[in-house]
Amino acid sequence: MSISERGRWLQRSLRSRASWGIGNFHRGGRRGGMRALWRSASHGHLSQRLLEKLQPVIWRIQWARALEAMVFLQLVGILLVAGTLLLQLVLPIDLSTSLLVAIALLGGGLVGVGYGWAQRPSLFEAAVLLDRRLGLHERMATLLELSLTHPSSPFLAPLQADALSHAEPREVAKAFPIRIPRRTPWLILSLAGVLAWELTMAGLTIPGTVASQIAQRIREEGKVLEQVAREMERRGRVEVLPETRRLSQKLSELGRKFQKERLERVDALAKIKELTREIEATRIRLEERLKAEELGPRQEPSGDLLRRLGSVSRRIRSIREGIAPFEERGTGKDLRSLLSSLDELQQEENGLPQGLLQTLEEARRKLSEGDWQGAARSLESAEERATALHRLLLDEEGLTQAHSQLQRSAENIARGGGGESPMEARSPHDRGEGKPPRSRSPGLDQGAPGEQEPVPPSLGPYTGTEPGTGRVVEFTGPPTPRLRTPKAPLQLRGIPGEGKSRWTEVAGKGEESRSVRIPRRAIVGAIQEADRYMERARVPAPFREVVRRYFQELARW
Amino acid sequence: MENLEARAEWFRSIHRRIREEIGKVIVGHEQVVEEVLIALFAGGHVLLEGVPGLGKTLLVRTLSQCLSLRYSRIQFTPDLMPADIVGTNVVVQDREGRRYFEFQRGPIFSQIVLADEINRATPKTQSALLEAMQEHAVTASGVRYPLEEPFFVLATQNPIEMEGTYPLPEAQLDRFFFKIKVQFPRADELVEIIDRTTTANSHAVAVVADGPTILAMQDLVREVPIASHVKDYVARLILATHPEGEGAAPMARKFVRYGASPRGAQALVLGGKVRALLRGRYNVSFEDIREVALPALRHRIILNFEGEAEGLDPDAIVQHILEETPEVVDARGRPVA
Repeated sequence: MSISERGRWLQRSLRSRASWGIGNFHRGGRRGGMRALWRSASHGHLSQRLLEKLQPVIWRIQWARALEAMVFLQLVGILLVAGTLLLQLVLPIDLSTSLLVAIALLGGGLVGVGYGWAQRPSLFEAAVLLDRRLGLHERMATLLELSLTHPSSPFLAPLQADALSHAEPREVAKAFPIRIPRRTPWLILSLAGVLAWELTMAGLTIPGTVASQIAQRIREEGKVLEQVAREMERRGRVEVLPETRRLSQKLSELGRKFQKERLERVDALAKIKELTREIEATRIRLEERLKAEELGPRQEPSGDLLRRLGSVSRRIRSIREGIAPFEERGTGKDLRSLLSSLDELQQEENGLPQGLLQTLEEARRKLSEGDWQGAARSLESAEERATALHRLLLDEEGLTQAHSQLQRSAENIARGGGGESPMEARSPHDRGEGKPPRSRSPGLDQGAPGEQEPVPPSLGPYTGTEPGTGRVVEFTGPPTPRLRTPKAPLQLRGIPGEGKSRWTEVAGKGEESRSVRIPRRAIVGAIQEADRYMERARVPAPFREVVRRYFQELARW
Repeated sequence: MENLEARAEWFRSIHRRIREEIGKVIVGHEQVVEEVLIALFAGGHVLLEGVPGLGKTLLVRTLSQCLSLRYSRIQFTPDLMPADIVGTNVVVQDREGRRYFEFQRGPIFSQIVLADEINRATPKTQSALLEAMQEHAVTASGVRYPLEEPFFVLATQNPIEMEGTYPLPEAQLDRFFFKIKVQFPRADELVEIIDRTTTANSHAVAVVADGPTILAMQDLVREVPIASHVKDYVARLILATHPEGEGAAPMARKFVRYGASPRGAQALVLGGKVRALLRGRYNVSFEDIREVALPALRHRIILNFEGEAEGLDPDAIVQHILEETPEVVDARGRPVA
């Protein structure tokens, strides 16, 4: 846009904005008069030189206002973030501080610049400010007004020459510098304060508030996660499950972090989500490996497959042990029995991977041909393969357990601080022996395949009727009347040390309070555990009944 | 004279020469002379206040000498009557022996009138000046007699002698464009006064301007443009002197009974215009207004009992108002930096 075009644009702008041009400086009834003055002056002539003088002033004022508004709104935004941080002491606010700061800076900046830019000064305002900054003794403003109201005034020409000669462009630039907005130090200070708070005081809560309850819930979930991680670690070590072990360390680390660090809910959920994503990725890798082993999408439950694979391994090992005498001495007890065992294995376990079945078929062929060593090698290979598959499945089970536990923790944390704690909400069975909470996986729960998981009773109000399940409140029952009158001192009848004496405790009238009955979860858990082991060890029924009675007797104490 | 720059320069040169001529006689009192000339060029009247012997009368007489205007001096005394100032109808007999009333013009029918010790006359007599000062005309026996232009009243009064004096009524005071306080001269000025008045040397004052010249200068003054926000400032200054007004200054609320009249605003603007021209500018600035605020407003502010009891000087109130009133305010009344 050339200078002359800009000049024409400014003149048009001046006419269209006549209503708010000079009116900014006047109040009440005077404003109407000034509007009329500007309207009547719309035919006036503004000199190009005057416009050229005022245009840079307008631009500079506009920029300065935009920057000021930007910094002001950013400061307001940061102060609001600071307010939010203070509020987080009391209430859980699931917003990331860094996100809030970014929004405050970016949003405040954009809105501020937009608003400031919209506050375009009128020509008259620019002239007045120019007069004041350069000490022009109102020359510019008078010139502008005279140009519009009395364009034929004999004073116009000398006034213009006088005014323009006093307003040097260099002086104009000096008088309206584009400088750092004056609130910038406050903005930097408040920003630093917010960041310092975030680094040192994040997650701090006032005891007894909702935020404090959330923090407590996070710590409790951290405890649970650490417990689960410990169990996973143990299982991983015993069963040689690399992925389970690896992720158990991370889970444990997360649990410790939840307990030790002051985490906000949003951060805790983000960390859970991150670990869940990693577990999911590992599970997908394991799934691919299982698929490569022809154990991709399975129809049967994982627990059944695990048991079958365990059984297959044991039976293969048993057959191999039967072949060993043939290998050593060339003769054995019952070759036919071994062959029939292999046949049975192949027929019964037809859901097994094809590669494993082929290896078994190869072993059978070699065994029938009298190639004892070859048969033993094939069986060894088949056993290794079955064991590897077994471990893979266990690994997957471990990850599934960790995944579901993380999901539960995330739900608990997201639900907030009210209600029962995670430890309380868990079934008494889970709480009993330090086992992972709600672990329903047969592989990890029982340590060995071969058992069906009992369906847990649904939890909820008035459903805790089965021993070993339910909630604490259901054990304690409704409040019962107690003696309201304060206890009287013990009364003694008879003379101490001489003959019989009797102590009596006199109680007063009833008062309402909650009676407490200590639940005996440990015994119930022990009975169930004993049942399981007896089932697994194939203890004969009469002996099993003896053991059960022992525990029942124990439970009555 | 079409060229405005030339007219402005001519204006300044006349002013400069008058000052030079007065300076030949009057020692010091630059501020007083400047303010008297501002009032003259603005077409207003001046009340000079000062103790006797400071040269007030001499200043007026010298001014009349260098202006080539008809000059008259009225010594105000308690027995002075309005007719002594305005004039009166006297019975005159013509050649045929017929008698008729003829208006005998008083000393007011001059162009420069010195009302010496104006507060010594009764209010009735003082009021004889009202019409003349405001309308530049007098009315006697129902006949209106216009005064010759330019018409310039310079009154003097003594602030310390209270006995036998009649303070000027507010209406009379308001008609004075400026009230100028004549201060006691400094030591060096006193020495100069002694030198000039106790030797045989006499200074002849040259005539610098005549009536039409003064009138042309007054016309030029009225053409000087003034920006609307400067007029707004003048209005706010005047409103700040009114104790019950919205924009009253705190001191005005406390110590002022009546604030300045619209004539005060006129005096500020016209005085500012003269000052702008004298400073070589073609527009009125805030500084011009501030500079003439004291002589233009000090006699228009009437103190209340509390102000009188405190012994306050209206100058202090004007000064306070000048400090309190921002020059430019935005739509919400906040000062604009």
